Amino acid sequence: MIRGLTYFLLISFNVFAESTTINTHGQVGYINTPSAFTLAESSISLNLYKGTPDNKLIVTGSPFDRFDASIFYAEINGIPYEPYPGYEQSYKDKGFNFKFNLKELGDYPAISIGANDIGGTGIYSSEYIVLSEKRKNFEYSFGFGWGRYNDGITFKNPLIKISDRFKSRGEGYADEGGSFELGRYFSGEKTSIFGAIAYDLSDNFKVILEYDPTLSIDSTETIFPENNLNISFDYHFKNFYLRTAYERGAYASFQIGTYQNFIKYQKNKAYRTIQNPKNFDDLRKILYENDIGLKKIEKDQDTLSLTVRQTSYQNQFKANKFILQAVKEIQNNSDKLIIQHDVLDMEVLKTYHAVNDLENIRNEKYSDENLKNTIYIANANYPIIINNVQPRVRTFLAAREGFLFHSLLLENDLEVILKENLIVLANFKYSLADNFDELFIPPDDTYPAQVRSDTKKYLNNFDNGIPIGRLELNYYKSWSRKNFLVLSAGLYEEMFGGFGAEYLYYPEGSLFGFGAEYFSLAKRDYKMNFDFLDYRNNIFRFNAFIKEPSTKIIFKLSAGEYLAGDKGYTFEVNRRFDNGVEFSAFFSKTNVSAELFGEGLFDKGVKLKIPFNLFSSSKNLGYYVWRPLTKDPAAMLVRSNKLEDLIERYRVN
Amino acid sequence: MRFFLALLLFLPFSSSAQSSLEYFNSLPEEIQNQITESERDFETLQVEDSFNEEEEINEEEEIVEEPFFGYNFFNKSSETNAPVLDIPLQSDYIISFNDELELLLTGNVNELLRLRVDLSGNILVPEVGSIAVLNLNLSQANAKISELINNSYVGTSSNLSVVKPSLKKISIIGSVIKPGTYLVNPFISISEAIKYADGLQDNASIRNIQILKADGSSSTFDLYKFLVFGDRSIDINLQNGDTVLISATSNYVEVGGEVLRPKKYEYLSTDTISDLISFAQGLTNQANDENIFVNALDGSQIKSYSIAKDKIIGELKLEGLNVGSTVSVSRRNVFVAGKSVTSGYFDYEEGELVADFLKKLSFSDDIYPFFFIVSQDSGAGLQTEYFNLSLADPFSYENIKLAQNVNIEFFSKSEIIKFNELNDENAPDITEEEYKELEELKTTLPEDKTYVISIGEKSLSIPLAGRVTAQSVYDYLGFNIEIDSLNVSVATREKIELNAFSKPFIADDLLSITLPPRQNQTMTVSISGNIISPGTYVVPLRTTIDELYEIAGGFMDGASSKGIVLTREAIKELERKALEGAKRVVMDTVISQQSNALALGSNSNVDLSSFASLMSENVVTGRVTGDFSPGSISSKQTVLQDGDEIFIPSVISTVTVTGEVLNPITTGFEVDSTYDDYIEAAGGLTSFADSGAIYIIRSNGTSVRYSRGFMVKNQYPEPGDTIVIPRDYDQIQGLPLVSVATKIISDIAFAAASLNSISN
Repeated sequence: MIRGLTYFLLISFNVFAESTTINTHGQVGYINTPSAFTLAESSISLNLYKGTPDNKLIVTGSPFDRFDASIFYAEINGIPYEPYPGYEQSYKDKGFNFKFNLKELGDYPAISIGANDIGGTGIYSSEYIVLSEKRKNFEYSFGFGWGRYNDGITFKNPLIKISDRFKSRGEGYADEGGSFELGRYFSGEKTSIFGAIAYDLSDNFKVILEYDPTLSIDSTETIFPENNLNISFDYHFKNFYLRTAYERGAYASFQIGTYQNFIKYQKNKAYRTIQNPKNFDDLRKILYENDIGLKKIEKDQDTLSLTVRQTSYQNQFKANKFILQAVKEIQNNSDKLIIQHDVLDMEVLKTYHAVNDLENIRNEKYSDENLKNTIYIANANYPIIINNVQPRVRTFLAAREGFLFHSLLLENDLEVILKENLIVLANFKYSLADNFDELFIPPDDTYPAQVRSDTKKYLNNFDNGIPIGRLELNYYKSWSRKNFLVLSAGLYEEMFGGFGAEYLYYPEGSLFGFGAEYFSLAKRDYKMNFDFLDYRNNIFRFNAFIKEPSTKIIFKLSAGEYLAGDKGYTFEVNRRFDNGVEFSAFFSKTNVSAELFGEGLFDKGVKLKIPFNLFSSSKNLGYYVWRPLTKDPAAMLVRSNKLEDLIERYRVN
Repeated sequence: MRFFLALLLFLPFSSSAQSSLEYFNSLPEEIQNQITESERDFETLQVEDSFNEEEEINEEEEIVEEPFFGYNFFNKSSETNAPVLDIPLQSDYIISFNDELELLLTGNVNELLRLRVDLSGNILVPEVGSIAVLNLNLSQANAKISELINNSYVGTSSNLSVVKPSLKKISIIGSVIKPGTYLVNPFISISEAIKYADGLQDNASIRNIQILKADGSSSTFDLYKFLVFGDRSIDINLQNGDTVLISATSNYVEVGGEVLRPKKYEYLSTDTISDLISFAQGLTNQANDENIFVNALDGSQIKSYSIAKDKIIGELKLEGLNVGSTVSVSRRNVFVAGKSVTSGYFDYEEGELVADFLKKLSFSDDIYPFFFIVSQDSGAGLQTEYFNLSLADPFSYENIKLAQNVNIEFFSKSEIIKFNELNDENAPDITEEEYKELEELKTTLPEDKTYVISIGEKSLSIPLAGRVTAQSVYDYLGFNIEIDSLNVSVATREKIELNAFSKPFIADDLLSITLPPRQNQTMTVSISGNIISPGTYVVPLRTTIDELYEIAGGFMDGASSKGIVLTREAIKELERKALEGAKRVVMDTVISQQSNALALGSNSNVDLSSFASLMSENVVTGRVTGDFSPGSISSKQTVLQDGDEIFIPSVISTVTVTGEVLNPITTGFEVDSTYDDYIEAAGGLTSFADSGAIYIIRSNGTSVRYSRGFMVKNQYPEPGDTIVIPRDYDQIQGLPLVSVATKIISDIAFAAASLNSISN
């Protein structure tokens, strides 16, 4: 995660965007209140807030135009920790914030509706409707707030006239908190008003004056407000900002952050060629220059067929464009070109193109043609060994013991390619320094089968020798670019090992796919060596997905048994951008009762996937999963590669 | 309703051969006809504004025989078509809406008031108030106003006069040439009204004309009372809002024989035979009024009856009425007539065979051998029998014997050809004398014995009898036209015989003979653009597009194989016709909407500016669409036609956005751009855009619908695409034909725009 953030910060220097102000909830707005504006589609913003008595880390993403979602971690100091009387601890909270833009700025003001801190324990729980107007270097907003926005000028909640259920926000939280309790929204006796003015003093400086109705958090460290006014000076540099604010006439706060629109940042590889290309060997060289491996060349009269493998392009059509360009360069007399993409020796895509129709490659036509004359086959000297040693930072956030725990690891990633479709993947760790030993508080509510809630015990052992993070053998096979299979055995992750298989049916050009997986698993020893604990489970799951092509949303459903033996389904909505950036949100519902589960009736979370090779030569697709709590039910096996993820990038259009 | 369903079905899926006509072709045939036919039926309001062209037609009309008595009276254009407003008005003039009146007050008050009849039918007289005058005649109105004036202005007398009568709107419907609603002269009579509608159709009844008043009442008029007897009283003046209904009839009788004006007359079942004779202006001196015959339809046969003068026609279906002559002489000689034969009276013996008699005659080279007529008395002189015979087929007259009063009429080749030139515009001028002869010939030649024969491009109507072959007719008439004798077809009543050049047929069975022209063995096509040897080529028939590419040396480097443009004159013509038709529909509607709006005093709801832009579109492309890239199925199978032109553009790397965008553009193709990106680059949609009907014209001319939506696969632009954003003609949806027409016009215009972007 930290590495991803570093890249993120690095590229942020490269792109200039109109200055955007982010509030303490990570949403586009002012200091504590929002505006009706949202981030541009596919943007991500990262923000750190230092206030009194709370500190926050907020990540906001815009998976769709006019919709922003934030994940935040908060640390509230000065709150007594009940299990240990007299022990004053900082309180950790996590949650989501959402904002929908109802109307964009036009002849009339922009209008948005939003909610802060849902799905968590609701310390910041508040809802609002806001109108904003922007004129040259002057911006102002006016809105109504509910929930935590309930100080200053208030009046009776007008929604009570519609229904009595708006009268009360309720006490405590159903299902141990953590639920999306729609009934609470916009409720409460009172509604308050808020407003703000922002003025650009120059390209870099901005001043904000805000009327803030936020109620103070009850903590021993709270400095109680003198008034409802906040003022801030913001310094913007490219996509960064630095804010110094004086809140409520009582205390100062600081906020630092960045925002980045990934849609603008596509790694545009330039086409590379060699001098005076003329034959098929030159074709192979050109493709190699462009990070495309040539496996096979076949030729019939006026048709040329190339089989390639590549992992450098997020979109197969970009690779295809370069392949076509290369074929034109060697002045081949073929009119028609067939391109087949293989991944791990599985045929995934086969399309045909008119050689002189270089630019029209996105409207793909699938080919079933098999040519007779093979004129080139790449041979490799197996086994191929790829070894990579590098330092990595591992973090554990917002534990009860503290806000941030981390370790500096030296990791060795090993890839042994025995055959193109038979691969050993391994990961060994060595801890250079860590403070994971300070994690000692056992989990609150545990499920009889403790599959995830004992994470801390594994982390405690990171400095104990060389833990094996992964050691697995995978065999891949495909039929007719429709049916895909992987057989696998080994240590899949730090906590589980075993053997199993996954099957996927996913034809070319199809908007849907489905499959099944079976794994026989055992819980690994906390030392992460080759030993296993007593817990064993066999899981069978059925997976299906459907793609909505125009918005590039994929709806995924996975049903069956989870690691802890509970049964149910996980539903995921995923949006993938052309450059590989993915946003997803998921929830799981299993047959576990709320009491056993702990917080909330079901597991939920969001996923952010950034292909790190956008920024470097790394082949990894780094991603970060956030869920409010690590719980035993609804836990799934973490695997290095799922078939759908492997294939999807060759099926993007 | 069916039309709308058909329209709905066809609209989204049209993607056949000719792009700009796709939509037009997809329409149901009846709609196509409605758009392209030169005159449409009773559809719109027409305002007469000139009658220049019609005068020329008048001259021709005099030559044409009247289908029935009275026809020409109406079908000659009136010279008082334009409203004449400065003639004195009679006291029976009926006051109508919008009439301008003058009220002269004299006595204690001296004032001249100018008044207008408002739309409620009242005039407003100061101090008297509103007075209803609508539908009063002038003297009634005068009396009414006088009385009221007397009450209001003591010692004042009044006089009302009409200063400017308003135009009347009448409808003329039924069997007239141009049914419609017309703004007419305020004093128009029934007979003049018919002239507004360009006269009668051949089946019009002028003895049963109905006038439907706006209030629902109706009355019937017999115009023969005026046309035959000059009774002007029945030719009444029409009122505003009247509808003149001319019904159709087939009740015509040919009155001939010893009457003063032999013609075809319309009869009513209440007429007597005397009435019919009086229509024909009575009997001649030689007439024998005891010897009147009628031919009437009895079942499927026509029979002759002797009939009394006072007989009422009743249920009889009369075809002809013949008044016999008191003089009847039985001739002892055969009368032979004809230009190419020794004509005159010849001695014969009763019972002599025709074949023998013919030997006595000499024929010139010009004799027309396939038809002659023998007519003679039979049944003791009471009946005449006719034989249609052929010199070329001796069997046709083998057993026919001559009886009494024999007339034999022969024809000459030149007569027959001249006769055909009567209807031929390109024929040399015909002298007046010749014309008379031909008119006579026309009456002599029985219509049901003439057949249409097409030789090459030429088409003739010739009489035939007996046995004939296409070959004998062709050999005789010749014309030096090369024909394709292998493809001669003969249509008989039973079937169409193919390859029937020398096959004999009985003339009575025939319908037509077609001798197609021998096809040219070569044709001329041209190819230009990025081809090795551009130019015009004379190539064998049935040359395909792919073969032409080869003949012209193949494509140059940088030639686009996708945007190949094939234009064909026939398609151009079709597009032109559709465009003109559609424009006419739109124009008529605009005029109609505007006139209605004026008449109703309201604003028209039609957006005139959008129509104006439509009407300025004039370009037709004539493009045949399809994938004509070398080696493609279409280019191998599409056979060129004479005059085809092919243009090979350079590789196209642009995308054009046209139609309802803020700034229509042609911009460079970008592989990552979507259709929406291009539309955005063109400034986005205007408020008139029909965003649901956007379509793409590909560089090969085919068009595809741009579909967006949930779970619809993405479409990506291709170089050379033209993105068309049509205008939303929602505001005129109430007029189905107009929305069809506007779509045709805009489609043709967009196709032209697309072609333009390729060619440039």
